[in-house]
Amino acid sequence: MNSESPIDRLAKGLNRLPGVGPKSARRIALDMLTWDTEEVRRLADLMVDVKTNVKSCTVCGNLGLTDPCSICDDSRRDRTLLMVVDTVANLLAVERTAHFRGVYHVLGGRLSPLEGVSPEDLNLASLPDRIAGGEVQEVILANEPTVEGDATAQYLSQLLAGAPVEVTQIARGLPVGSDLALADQVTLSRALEGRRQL
Amino acid sequence: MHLSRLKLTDYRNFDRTTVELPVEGIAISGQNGRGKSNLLEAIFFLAIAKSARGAQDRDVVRWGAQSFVVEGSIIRQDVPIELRVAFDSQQQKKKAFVDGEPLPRVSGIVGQFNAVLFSPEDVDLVLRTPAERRRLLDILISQSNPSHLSDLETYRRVLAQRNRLLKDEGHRLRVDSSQLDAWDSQLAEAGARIVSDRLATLSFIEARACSFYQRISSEAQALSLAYRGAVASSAADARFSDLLDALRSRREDEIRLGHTLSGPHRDHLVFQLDGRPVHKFGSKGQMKSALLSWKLAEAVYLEAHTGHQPVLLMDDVFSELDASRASSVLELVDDFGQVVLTTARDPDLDIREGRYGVVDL
Repeated sequence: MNSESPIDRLAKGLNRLPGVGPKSARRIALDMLTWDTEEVRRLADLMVDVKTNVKSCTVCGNLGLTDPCSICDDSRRDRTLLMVVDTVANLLAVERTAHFRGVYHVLGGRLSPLEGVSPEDLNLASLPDRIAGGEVQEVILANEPTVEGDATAQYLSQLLAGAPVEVTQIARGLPVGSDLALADQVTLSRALEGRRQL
Repeated sequence: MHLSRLKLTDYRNFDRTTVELPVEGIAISGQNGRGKSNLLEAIFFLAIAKSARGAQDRDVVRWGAQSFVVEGSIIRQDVPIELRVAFDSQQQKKKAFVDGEPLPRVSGIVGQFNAVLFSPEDVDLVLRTPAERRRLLDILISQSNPSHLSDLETYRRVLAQRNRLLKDEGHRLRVDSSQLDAWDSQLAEAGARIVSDRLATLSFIEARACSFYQRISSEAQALSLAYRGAVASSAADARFSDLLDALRSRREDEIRLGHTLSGPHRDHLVFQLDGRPVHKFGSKGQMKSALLSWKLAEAVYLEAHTGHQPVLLMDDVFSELDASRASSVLELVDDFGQVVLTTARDPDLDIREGRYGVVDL
């Protein structure tokens, strides 16, 4: 017999969500009790729907309704440009700019021995094969500007050292619209290192 | 720069205390156990947002209370600035505020208020512990150059990752060490900047500390500061590649032992008198004078690099010094800005005659 109340069980389930602590989980669970049953069912259906219909693209690691995903499948995308990102969230951020017309490779994380993440845990194995296909001319590393993201980028650049492609990294510098005087010194010196001729 | 008012709430033994401080400084007297040292520690909290004695934030909260607040009104070039550091032990959250505005990171407060703290309990601790001597130097640099702090944070993070890799994946690294390479360049990059900052600061400090030592002590011995490490002698622009080489040359040992063997986290800073380590050969008085000379040099450094005279916090500075050393110290301190000093109840020294008003705690 499970002595836990259904509310406790739901709270425990919600507690698994990122950014939701035990207290918030309980608040959400109690709040749901005030919803219409239909509303709750709709949310539950949406969750199951996502789980059953959204697939991970076997080419790039993006998420979508099809495999290959809509980006990999799009003949108008420039296949000579391949951007490596850590997460699908970062891919979506780049997509929102509508500036990048190439294709992606989503790693699904960053190297972090402290969290037990090693190269096998990342979507890396297929990357050399994609490049060996011959279409890719430039690999753009767009990993997070953190210690772990930098290590991942460094690892990738070693991995791709022998490949006949140009490996570049996106620039680090000042956020647009920000106050230069308020920028931290590391960002400022990175921005200075990455200066370019006008 | 000076501190005009300090307000403490539930900090160590103080429940609610406000102290007004005159611009020239103040002498705080009182029996042992009244919290003289705690008061100086609290003032220094405004400078580095943590305990100078290395205490955990939760241990600084007054017994029975849940949170503490340190507030300081400082005047920097005639501009009043309100600083506040608050810690809540239930939420385990520390926040720092400048003029009521919360800072995105607590460490952002470092550099707002500069102070130099001398405390007698540091003498043994600092001079005998290599890690504490490195910390002494790093805290000083961070106060005038915030990028040193972020270099240290980066370095520590990379080091922790790299050490975990060495510990957990040793068998694999023996076959393929490419994962290690991925961390090495970041470690060497931050490491080279840290060593360069340390050496530049040391050369400034050494000259001043040496002359202070001569004035405090009547002996003819010369104080020097030696820095020893993997790339301490390398040319500045070669430090990155030399540090990388140092890491690579000890790779087998590192894999066997499971941790990183070279870099600024292993470097040594040694206080020497006539070339001999003071922590091994010095007397109590010599050790105290050596650290005190360093602290006064710190004050000169901070003024030169920030444009503001730091506040000198001198805890029980006269104990263990003979009368002539003690009066030399008083004379020296006169050349600085605001001075907050503490003294036990039986002052042999007539500091009342000096420029400082005395408050009893």
